[in-house]
Formats: sequence, C-alpha cells, structure tokens
Amino acid sequence: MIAATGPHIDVEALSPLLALTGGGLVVLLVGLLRPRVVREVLVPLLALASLAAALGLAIWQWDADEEIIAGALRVDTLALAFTAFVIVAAAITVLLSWRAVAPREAAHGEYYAMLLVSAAGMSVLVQAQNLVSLFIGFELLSVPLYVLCASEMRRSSSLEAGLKYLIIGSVGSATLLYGLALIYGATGRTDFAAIADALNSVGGPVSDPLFLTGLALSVVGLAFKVSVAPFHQWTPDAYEGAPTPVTAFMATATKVAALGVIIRFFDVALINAQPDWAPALAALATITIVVGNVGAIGQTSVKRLLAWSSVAQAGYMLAGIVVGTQHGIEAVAFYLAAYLVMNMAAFAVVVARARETGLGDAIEALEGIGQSKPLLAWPMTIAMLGLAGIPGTAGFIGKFFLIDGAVDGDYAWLGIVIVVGSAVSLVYYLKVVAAMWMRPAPRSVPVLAGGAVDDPPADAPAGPRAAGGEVTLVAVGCAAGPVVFGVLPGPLFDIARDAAAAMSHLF
Amino acid sequence: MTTAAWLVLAFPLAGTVIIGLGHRAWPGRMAGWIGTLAILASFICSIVVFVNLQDRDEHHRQVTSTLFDYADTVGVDAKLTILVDPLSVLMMLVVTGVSTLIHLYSVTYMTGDRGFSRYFAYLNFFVFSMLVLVLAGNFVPLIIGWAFVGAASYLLISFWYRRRTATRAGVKAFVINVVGDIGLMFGAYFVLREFATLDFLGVFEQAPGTAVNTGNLVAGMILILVGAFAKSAQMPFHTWLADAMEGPTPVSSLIHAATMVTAGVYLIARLWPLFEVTPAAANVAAIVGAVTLFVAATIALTQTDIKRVIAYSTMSQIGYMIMGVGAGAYAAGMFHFMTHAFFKALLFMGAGSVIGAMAGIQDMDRMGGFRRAMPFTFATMLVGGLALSGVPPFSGFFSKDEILAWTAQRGGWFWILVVAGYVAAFLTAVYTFRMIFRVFGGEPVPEARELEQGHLHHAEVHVNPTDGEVEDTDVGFPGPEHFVAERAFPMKVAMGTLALLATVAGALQIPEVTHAIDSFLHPTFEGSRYYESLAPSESFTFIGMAVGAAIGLGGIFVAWQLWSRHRGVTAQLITRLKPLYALSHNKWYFDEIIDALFVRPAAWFGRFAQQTFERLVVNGAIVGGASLIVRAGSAAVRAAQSGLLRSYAALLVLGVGGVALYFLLQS
Amino acid sequence: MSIEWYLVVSAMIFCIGAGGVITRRSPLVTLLCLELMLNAGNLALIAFSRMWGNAEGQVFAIIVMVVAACEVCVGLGVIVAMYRRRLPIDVDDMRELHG
Repeated sequence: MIAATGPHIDVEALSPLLALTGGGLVVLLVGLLRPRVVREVLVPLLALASLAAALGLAIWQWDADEEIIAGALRVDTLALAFTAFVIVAAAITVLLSWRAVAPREAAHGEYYAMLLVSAAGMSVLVQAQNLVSLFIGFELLSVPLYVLCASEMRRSSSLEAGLKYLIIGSVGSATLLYGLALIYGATGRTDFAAIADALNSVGGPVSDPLFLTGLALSVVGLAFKVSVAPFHQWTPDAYEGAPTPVTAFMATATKVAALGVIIRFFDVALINAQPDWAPALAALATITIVVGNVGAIGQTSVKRLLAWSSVAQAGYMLAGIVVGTQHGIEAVAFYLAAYLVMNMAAFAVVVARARETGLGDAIEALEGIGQSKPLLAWPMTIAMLGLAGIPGTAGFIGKFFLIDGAVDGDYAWLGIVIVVGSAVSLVYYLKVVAAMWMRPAPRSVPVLAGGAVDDPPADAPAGPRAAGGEVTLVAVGCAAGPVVFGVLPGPLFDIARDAAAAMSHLF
Repeated sequence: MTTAAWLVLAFPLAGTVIIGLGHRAWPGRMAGWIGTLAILASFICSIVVFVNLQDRDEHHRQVTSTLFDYADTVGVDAKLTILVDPLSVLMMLVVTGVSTLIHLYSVTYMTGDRGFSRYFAYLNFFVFSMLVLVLAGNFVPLIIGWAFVGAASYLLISFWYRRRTATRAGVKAFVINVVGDIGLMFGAYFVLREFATLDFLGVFEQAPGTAVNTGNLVAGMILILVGAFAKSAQMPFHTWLADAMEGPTPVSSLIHAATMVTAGVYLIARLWPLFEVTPAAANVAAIVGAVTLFVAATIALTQTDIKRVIAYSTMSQIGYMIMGVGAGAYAAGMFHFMTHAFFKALLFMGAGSVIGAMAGIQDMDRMGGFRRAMPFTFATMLVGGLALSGVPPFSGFFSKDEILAWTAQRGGWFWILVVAGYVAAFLTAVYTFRMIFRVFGGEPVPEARELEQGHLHHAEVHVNPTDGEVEDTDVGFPGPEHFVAERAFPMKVAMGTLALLATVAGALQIPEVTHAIDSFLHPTFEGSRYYESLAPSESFTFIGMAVGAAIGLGGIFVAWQLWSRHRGVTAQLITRLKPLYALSHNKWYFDEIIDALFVRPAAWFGRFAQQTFERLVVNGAIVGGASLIVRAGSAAVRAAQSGLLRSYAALLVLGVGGVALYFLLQS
Repeated sequence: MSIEWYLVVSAMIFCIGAGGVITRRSPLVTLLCLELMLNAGNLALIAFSRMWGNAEGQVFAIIVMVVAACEVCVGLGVIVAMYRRRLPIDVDDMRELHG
C-alpha cells in the first residue's frame, strides 16, 4: 500500500499565517467562557498576542524567498512586508474595538476571531502564487468582513451595510472567478509562473479573446476590492454603515491586501500582457481619482468623507502599479504604509469623538476640539494634511514617489492627474481641519440625538462616555508616523525597497 | 563664518518661539522689543557674514554648510544646506536690515492692538522663513522657505481675522501662492530629473554642459517661473497683492513691498545658470515682467485707495526687476531690488502714518493738506516719491536706468520692452506725485487741521475701509488707535533711516564712477554669458540717464499740472505770478495733449485691465469655472450614489462590459 | 462535444445570475442569483479542466463550492438578523446609506 505523499510543508515560512489562523481559533474558543473579564479583556489580549506573534514571525522570516505548499503560496519580502502592514492594521483595530459596541453585540470571541481570520485571508492573498490560492485568499478576506460590517446588529445601518457589501462583493467575487476560469481556460494552468510562460510562448494567447475577456473580468474583480471607480459604489455605504473600527480595518488592511495581490497577479502572471492592461488600469486610475475626489466634496460624515478619500487614494496607488516597474512598486509600498497610519489616526479620532459626543461621525463632532482636545485635534490635522500630501509629511513623499514612478514609466500624464486630484482634495481635507480649529465647540452636546447608535443596547452606557486611553494612544501614535517618516523617510524606504526587490524580474 | 550664517536663521526662529510661547504673558510692548532685538541680532550676524565673505579670496566666496541629510535613500540629495555667497548675503543684509526698521516702526504702530504679541510672533516667523528661502543651498530648503513665507503672508494678511475682507484676501493670497509652490516644486522635480541632484552648486556645475533649450528643462524652468510670478505678483498671478493690503500697513511695507514679493527676482537671479541654458524661459520672464510693469503702472493711476496705489506700484517695480534679471541684467535687477526695498518700505511707512492721522481712512479723495500737519512724513514721502519716480540723484534713478540700459543692450525685440519701461517710468512719476499732491497738497482736511493743533483725530465709529462695515476694536480687529509717525520716536528713526538710504543708496553704483554692487556680486555670476558683456557703453549710459531723468521730471510736472495747480494754495500763487503763468500757458496745452494722449488712455486701460481682465478672466473664468466644474462633478457623483443596491450592481455589470469591450476591441 | 457549448451555457448562466441581481428586489432571490453566477464559473472551470486534461480546474471548482456555501450562509444570517429587527426584506428599501 502506497502512502499518499502530500507536498512538503515548510512550517517556518508558513508560521505567520499559522499564528493568525491559530490565534483565530483560540480566540473563538476562549470567547465561549462565561466570565466577563475573560471575554472583555482576555480575548482582545489574546488577539493582540497572536498578532504580535505573527508580526514577530514575519520579521523573523524577512529574508525568505521561496514557494511553499507545492507552489500555492510564495513567501518573499513583498508578501512579508504587506503581511506586516496588515497585521499592524489588525492590531490597531483590536485597540479601537476594545470598548466599542460591536464586539459586545456580536460576542467578543466571534468578533476578534473574524478579524484574525480576515487578516489571515489577506496574508494568503498577498502570498498567493496561483489562481486557486488567490481566490481562497480573496474570499477568506471578504466573508469575515461581511459579517464584521453587520456586527452592530441592533443598528439598521450596520445591517444594511453588511448586506450591501455582501451582495455587491459577491457579484465582484463571481466576476473575478469567471475571469480566473477564462484565464485558466486560455492558458491551461493556474500557476502564476506557468501562466506567464504560456503568455510568453510563441503564438501565445495574448490576443486570444478568451484570455482577454478573462483579463477584463479579473481586472474588474480585483479593482472592485481596491474600490476603483466605477466599481467603488459599495465603498461609501459600507464604510459609513460598518462599526468604525471595522471601517478602519477595511479602509487600510483591505487596500494593502488587494493592492498586494494586484501587484503579484499583474506583475508576475500577466507581465507579458502589460501593454494590454496598463492603459486600461491607467484609465481606471484616472476615473478613480476624479470620482473619489469630487465625491468627497460636500460630505458631512467624516467616515463617508474618508471613504471617498480612500477611493481617490486607491487611484493614486494604482498609478504605481500601471507602470509595471520596481520603482512603481516601491512607491506603492511606501505610500501604503503612510496611508495606513494616516487613516488609522483619522479613524481613531472619529471613534473617540463619536464616543465623547454622541454625535456619531458627523463633522460637527470635531468642531472646536483644537482648543479643548489638542491630543485629538493634532492627530486629525496631521492625518488630513498628510492625506492631502502637504510637504513635510510622509504623504507628500509617498505621492512624490508615485508621481516619479509614473513619469519614469512614461505615464507622465497620470502624474499630472495625481497632482490635480490632490489639489482638489485640499477642499475637503482642509474643511475638516477648519472645523477643528476655526469653529467654536458646540455649546451643549445632544445626548445621542441623531447619533450612530439609534437603539443602544441595555448594557451599553447611554450617552457620551470617555473615549478610552487606548484610542487616544492610537491616534497620537499613528499621527507620529507621517511626521516621523516625513522627516526621516529612510527606514520606511528600506522596507519599501526590500518589498519591491522581490519583483526583481521587473526593471 | 557658516556659524554666523546659521545664527542669522536662529535668531528670528528663537524670537518666534519665545514670543509665541508667552504671547499671552508679555507685558506692554515687551514682545515688540524682543522681536526687534532678535531681528537686529540677525542683522548684525549678517554683517559679520558679509565681512567674513569679503575677507575671502574672490574665487572662494561660495560657501555651503549642511545641517542634516533629509533623505539620502533613493538618490535624492535632499539636504538642509545653506549657500552663503555674495547674492544671498546681499539679500540677507537687505532683508534683515529693512526688517529691523519695520519691526521698530511696528512697535509703536501696533500699540493698542489686542494682537500685539501675536503680530510680532508672525513677523519674526516671516523673517525666519524669508531667510531660509534666501540662504537655501538646495531646492528642498528653498521650497520649504517658499511655502513658509506664503503661510506667514497669509497669517499676516488675515491678521485682523474678524474682518471678513481680511480673511478673504488672505485666502486668495494663500491659494495663488500655493499654485506657485506647486509650480516651483514641479520645476524642481524637472531639474532633479535632468541633473540628478537638488543641490544648487551641483546643478550649476552641470548646467553649462547641457544643450540649450531642451524641452524638459524649459518646461521645468517655466514651472519655476510660475512659482516666481505667483510670489512676485506678476501677471496673471498678480490679483492677490492689491487685496493683501488688508494686512496692517507695516506688513504691507515689509512683506508686500520690500522683501517677500521680490523672492521671484531673487529666484531667477539665483538660478541664472539654468536660465542661461533655457533662454526661452528667460525670455518669458522678461516679457511677463515688461507687461506687468506697464499694466500695473496704468492701474496705479486710477486707484484712490492710498495703499493700493503703492501696491500696484510695487507690482510695476517688481516687473522692472523681473524684466532685468530675465534679460540678463542680474546686478541691475538686484540693485533695483535693494533701492526699491528702501524707498517702497518708506512710502508704505509714510502711508501708514497718513492712515493713522486719518483714523484708518485710506481713501485719497478724503485726504489733503497734510503738508504742514506732518512735515516729517511729508519730507520722507517726498524722498521716497522722488526715488520711485527716478529723479536724480535719488537711488531709484540709478537702479531703474541701469535695468533699462542693460536690457536695451540685448537689442532686437528687447527694445520694445525698454520702450514699455520708459513709458511706464513716465506713468510712475505721474501716479506717485498724484498721490503726494493729493495727500499733502491743497487745503487741509479737518483731520489735518486737528493734527496741526496737536490732536490726533480718533474715529467715533471704526469702520472697515474696504466695505464700510462698522467694527469694534476687540481682538481680531485693528486696535482703537494707531500712533501717528510724527509723534513717535521709533517710527521717526525707522523712516529717517530709510529716507537716508533711499537718497544715498544710488551712490553704490553710479555709472562710470562706482560699481560696488557689480563687483560685489561678481563671484556669484562668474561665467555668465551676460554679466559683463552686456555693460552698455559710456555714451549710451549717459543718454539713457538723461532720458530717464527727463521722463521722471516730466511726469512729476504733469502730475503737478493735473492735480496740484488748481488746488487752493497753488491757485493763489498762480494769480499772483500772472506773467509766469502766462509763460507756462503754452505748456499747458502740451499737458493737455499729454493728458489726452497718455494719461487718459493709460487710466482707461488701467480700469479696463482691472475690471475686465482681473475680475472677469482671472477671477471669473479661471477660478470660477474650475470650481463650477468640480462642484457639478461632485453633485453628479453623489447623485449616482443613490443608495439603491440594484443600481450599484447595474453599474458594476456595465463597468465589466466596458472593460471587456475595451480589451476585445484594442487587440 | 466541443468546448464552445459548455462555455455558452456557462456564460448564459452567468448573465442570468447578473440580470437577476439587477432586477430582483428580494435579497433571498438575489442570493440565489449570486449562486448562479458562481456556479457558472464552476461549470467553465470543469469544462476547461476536461479540455486541458488536468485536474487543476476541478480542484478549483470544489473549493469554489465551499466558498459559495459560506457566502450564502453569511447572507442568510444577515437576512435573519434583519427580519428579527423587523426591517423590510427588500433591497430597494435599504437606502439609509447614500450620497
């Protein structure tokens, strides 16, 4: 009798992923215990611990460059750097969720387990080396997020956001799946490298309509996850309706993962079709920058404003991928890290003010905090200025390198689009800054009138409550990022360059 | 030596921090004195740098010092470097010197304002930023300084932040300046792509080796010019400067006349090696300068707000400088920058004194006869006016003529620019003395009479001079009273010093006699194609000077005929000196003709330029049109975001169809 | 039988699914239509798998089935939660978030 021989499994290279999934299972089980302190303190601590372990393991594996599980995943610096970004985002999300309503309603174990599993999905996605693992990662990322979106079950807008995200997201997944199926049909392989070989062979399927349709469908499916216009419409609704910590997670980690997989899929598997897809992606990037920036103007909800801004930012980062050069990828990696901390700082302030005022995420909740709450006002100011790309912040340097990458890759006009988009974006970013510093604080704080929580659960403290030290800590810590990396961008550059070095076959 | 140069930067910064930290606590005029001392210390350090530099050998007068490497990771040498050379030292001396005087003036001028300490913190911050800009030895500190002075200017224009007109003017200035910043940034980016370095000296070393007028570099230099034009209020980025007069008058004097607005001139002179390999861009600068100097002079002729007259005059004078440095007359441009800083700061100080006497009113229609009430102001403003009009032997005469003479040496179509320069010089004399005659000549207005008795007129109700709205004198508005220059010692010191400088500074560079500026700046411009070869011949110079002097005096005479003769005092004089009057009768027709041919069309053109070009084209079509498009786009995008799930899905499917169609069709 | 027929059928199923998502107002039917879209992909995968004679497409298809089940599970869960909150079960009434 012959024993079935499975593929060799390199546990070391797989360890960050194992830490995340293992942590998810442990958190889920521990969450079943009765004592309140276990659920409210131990569970998030365990989640943080497994994230810390995963981060440590990722750093430990930093120099790895190998294919694992029979070529399904690839562990290299690109994958590890993006995994590290995702883990940081997840850890910050855990801190923001500490006293939030969502985990209480959805049960702590489930909430944090879902978060960890979603992070694991993102990790799979950025490591994916064939079509199957790409799709698994994609769904492992999405399905927990659908649930997390709807996790404030007593708030109808949370449920609405969850269902909308689920339906539109599934249409996107189905489109992606069909596209992947057609690419498989055209090339006969699911392996990225093998697809690239098939495309490279003489008389390859580059101009095969089957392949091109597949390419179009998968472009849409992936672009959808990064919220590229015109596939962005789920973004503002889902971001606004979801519990704010989840929104923060979606806005940052999902973008990291989706851009990571786009880099890998387009710049590894489809690099030989670059002349085909680059103009299309460039056009989509332009539409995205325009739509995102004009959509953000006139928003009154900060979360919604940040959602539209994240659409525009996705457009900027897409420009780094269009050109298909190492330089572009470096720029994307750098910008993603800067974008992550800036957005996290902004969402932390939103969380804090929503708790303190009961005004939800409206801009009014920020009015006058320049005087009364400088520890919240400064992080928000830095985040807004950084997202707008004001010199002196990491956002500026990131944008500068994106533009440089675009110009280097003969897409100078895309650089101009980025500049014009940034100029327009000042309108709404400065509006937030002006609200904080130039308006008086509202006289009396209405108790939950028009707030996000329209029917507070019985055990939730009614009305305004303290934001919690950890939220302020996140805000200040994340706001330090863009300033520090704006003045000393060296370390972040090294990470970005390492990440791009994994794509050494590019220029 | 570089230590002293760093100290030049350190003092104003320290002043900002010290005043800013304690801005609620400083008693009385303490903050003002701290600010003045900080700038004075900076001025002294500048002199030390100057002396040290002169001690060095001619070929080693370009010294750099780097404080810290910003980012040396991806081949971008963004360093915090300062470059000390004759050009930056000249600029530094003028900036710190004039700033010291204006700080001194402000100490009394701003007394009684509730934002006294805040004012000096801003003003010190401005000087710091300006010095960063001037000393920058690398594009990065240049851009930082460039952006900082824009911010400081915004803060000071909107200093009376509860005046709606002031905040609006500040926002306008800020927006146009940011456009300039972006231009400069991208210009620097083109330079970086071309030469792979951001260091000035590194760039300058490579510049002569590149081909002339390469497309990329010309584009880059034009972008840099956008930055220069925005900061120096050249067409079509000039609209903010007149509005910037909403700031306190010493601010107009320092920032919007003497220093910041000349940053564009400095930038072009600083980057001369680049402009010499891109003559196309340099020509653009010369032409824009000429157009601006002419149009702004015509507009100045029609203004009735005293500060706006001087503001348009500033624009016009900077036009001369830009034209000069654009045409290769670097030393002449910088010389005019220096003399202009003296006499224009002086004119603004005088205007501030008059406005103080009028209790805040700026309309010249309401003024008159201040000659006897404020003899000191009258004398100093007369000096400033003569210098501005280019009357020998005042400083403006030499510097303006040098620009025109050198530009004429370029020959060809540069002659058109020179003619425009001479016509505008005539208009300059007209509008300058129109202002002086209307303010100081004629019957004294009640305010002047009161002042003659020794009382300072105080307004019962404080109104905004721009829109006539009634205001109180609380924080965020002008204080209840502004001291008249005449009566306050520090103001007299400041104005007297500047008047002296405005009179004698021309002696630094009298053709064929002295060339202090030329030889001092020589190390910076060594190797320039134009620096020495453009020097005009002796006869040419003297013809030019004679024409310049005649034009200046003629303009003053016309102004006298038009705005002074029929006023009371002069009218009496005329009746008494009937024969003399008869003698000049024929000239009167001459003046009529001049008036009909030049002054009226110029005034009409000025009105046209202001109303049609500024309001309709710049503000209406460019600014309004862009914001309309953005707003319409926003409405459309948000309307599509209907919240209807099925329509989202439909758009998604539509998008899939579109992308698929694209891929299938293009193969 | 040639591969085209399989492809035509799968494309039709995909389009029917997409059309259903766009036109139907009940979220339950919408979920069914999503299943159709995913299974259209499955059909294509298996057809291609036979065409190329390798098993990769079949493996992919099996995984997709699992994923599809998960999605429907979550979708039904959200619908149940909405039903419990007595919210209207109609996608056209979910317009609280817009703009």
